[in-house]
Amino acid sequence: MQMAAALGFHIVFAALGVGLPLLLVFTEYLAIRRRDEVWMALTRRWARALGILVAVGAVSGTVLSFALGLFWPGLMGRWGSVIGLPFALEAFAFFIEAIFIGIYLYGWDKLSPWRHWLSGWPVVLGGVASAWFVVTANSWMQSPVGFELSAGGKVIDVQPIRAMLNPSTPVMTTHMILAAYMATGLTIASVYAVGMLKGRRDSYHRRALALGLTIGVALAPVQVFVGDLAAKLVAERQPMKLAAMEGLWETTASAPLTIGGVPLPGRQETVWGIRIPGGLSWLAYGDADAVVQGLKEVPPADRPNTVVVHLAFQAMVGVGFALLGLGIWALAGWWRRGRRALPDGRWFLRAAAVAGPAAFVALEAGWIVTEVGRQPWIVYGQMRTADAVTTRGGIVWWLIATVGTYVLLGAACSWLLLQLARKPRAAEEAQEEQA
Amino acid sequence: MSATALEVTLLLAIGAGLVLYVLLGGADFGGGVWDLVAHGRTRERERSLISAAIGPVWEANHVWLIFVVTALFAGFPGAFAALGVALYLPFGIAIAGIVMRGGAFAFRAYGEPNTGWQRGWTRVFGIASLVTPVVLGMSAAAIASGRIHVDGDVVRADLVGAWTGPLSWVAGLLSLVMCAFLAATYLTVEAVQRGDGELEERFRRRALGAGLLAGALAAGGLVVMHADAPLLWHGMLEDGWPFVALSAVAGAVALGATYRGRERIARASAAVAVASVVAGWGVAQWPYLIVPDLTAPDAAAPKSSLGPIVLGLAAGAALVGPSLLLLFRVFKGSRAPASPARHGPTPG
Repeated sequence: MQMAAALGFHIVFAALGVGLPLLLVFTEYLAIRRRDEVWMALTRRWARALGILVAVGAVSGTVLSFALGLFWPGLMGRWGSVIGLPFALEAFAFFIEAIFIGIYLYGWDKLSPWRHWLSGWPVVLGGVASAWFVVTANSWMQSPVGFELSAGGKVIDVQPIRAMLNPSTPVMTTHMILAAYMATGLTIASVYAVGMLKGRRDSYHRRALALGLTIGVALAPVQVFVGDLAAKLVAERQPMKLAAMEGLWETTASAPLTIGGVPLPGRQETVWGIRIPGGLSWLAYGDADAVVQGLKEVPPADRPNTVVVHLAFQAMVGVGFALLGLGIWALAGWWRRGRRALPDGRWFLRAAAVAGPAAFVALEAGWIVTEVGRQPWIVYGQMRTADAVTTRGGIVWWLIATVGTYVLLGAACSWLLLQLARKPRAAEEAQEEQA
Repeated sequence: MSATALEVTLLLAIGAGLVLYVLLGGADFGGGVWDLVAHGRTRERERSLISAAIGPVWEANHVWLIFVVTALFAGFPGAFAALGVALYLPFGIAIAGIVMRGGAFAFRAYGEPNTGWQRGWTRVFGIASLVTPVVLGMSAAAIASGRIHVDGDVVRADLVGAWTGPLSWVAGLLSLVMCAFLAATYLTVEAVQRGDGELEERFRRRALGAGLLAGALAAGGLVVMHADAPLLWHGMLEDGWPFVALSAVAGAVALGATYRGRERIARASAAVAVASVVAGWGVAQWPYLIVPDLTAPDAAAPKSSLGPIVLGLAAGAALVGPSLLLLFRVFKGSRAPASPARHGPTPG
């Protein structure tokens, strides 16, 4: 739970920390190339936001690296040699990110404009690489490979590179990195959609909204496709997770796809859902008649919490398709306006304003699906969560302390970003003159 | 079982990472301590100097700690797991300190100046910078003084007693004072570059005071070690003594250079003095990762894991090394900053 809170918090900052630099190198390129004040103003302001986000992301990431040892000594002691490699490499990726973020944020008047722009690229690449390495470790917990067990149950014949490139890696890392870019783009879109709803309809707001929205919704179809691959992988390797995602209790041939609905563990059925006959079998195995295993295949102790997993999965997929819809709306509006401008009606702006928070709901929901869906295993099929957790007492106090700290940091960070967003641009420029 | 070449290589890399963390990250904590005690007429100027010095580099400096933790975890998972259990409490406090320090620094730098917000986070920044090095120093002594017992998968250590022995108190204080010493010598150079004679004088005096205190604590620490951590003491007598000597000489040079106004020599020799304390400690503890039960070969990952890790570290070092040089050349180069009138960090 403590780890869950820490990860759930870190993922928000990490996603923005990975996504925002890409937007920055794009806007700064336009700013320098076209000598454009508006793009430059956006770049400067987003760089300030990045400074705050990366600081909080860096320290919350540190908590995680310690927390692995503090809370999961069983996991680390036994499996550390198998999954240590990506963590060690992640440190280097993060090094590159941290070094160049320093240069980028503080080097505005120490470097020529193009050199400054170049210093943003290692931040982009370092961010993507750290996300990739960290997610490979999580992929491994879903698809543990790259080792053998001796007769006595000891871990032998360790092949860390094979473990890192496990079957879940390609799909999961892509899914996560796309999610980070989408969430960042849509957050930006949200902020400026709110600004436009308040009547600030200048080119500064229009461009920021257009850029954020384009990145967010253009990736949505790709993400749906990758998400489908991810679900097929789950069907193949973790049938109980799929059953929990779908709230499927009975093993069924030509299983229906359940949209919505609430699983009731007491009655072992899922009610109020819309069912599309054969839909699940077709999506999971490409064959509408295929047999899909239900939760009743295994004893209750081996089932994930289907209420949480099913609802989280529905939320994630729901947001994904809503974003797809928003994309079509934007595209249609853009076409009608002679392919020059995005729609700017109040309802469109309201939808864009909701898209940012919704993207983070999807991000967290996706994370809940993958983690809670794997229970009761921490390493799928190899180690139960209960065997990995620390034997020290007082976990509850840690939980309270962690959540308290994160609430404080999160609140302070949000407040500061809000201040930043509200501050009129003129005031900011004046302050920079003084500084 | 003796250690293999791979294990030694990886341990040396981890040791180097730890030394760099102390020299760079440690100085950032020290800067926070001076920030906390800044007072009087020059208070705001001091804080602005400290912020400007730490701002561009602290995140990169902080990654050395992440490097040490992840490399230890990847290469010596047994030791990592045991430390997590044994030092549950102090590591938790240190994490809290690290989180609050980093968060507070960013919040202060990006907030509106002269507000309650900024004063509040400045206080948090200072206190977290004070507590963290003390607790980390105490943890280091816990590892070396034989208060953590490892028997197979079972780790026995007192939740509080393990890291509050006599050596822990000395090491915690020494760690704090060393951070302050490093920061004062670095900040003297920064003050000279900024052309602020008053601050230069102030940090020069602080460097002298902290340096003398660090020397006294280090010498006293040896006496306590003799009584409280016999294994470490024997290691010091056998292998660690050249580092003790080097540290003493470099420390004396640093103090002399500070006194004579040779701030760059002072900065370099202060770094050597502190690095020798860490290196000597590490050598004296060899081959134990956790005294007295866990040696490096006991805790090491199998060879098939260590190979790729060492290769990965080499590749990573090839990328990170030049990048770090660039970072320090841009911000800590010998050229004076663009204009001495610029105060404070100017992010964005």
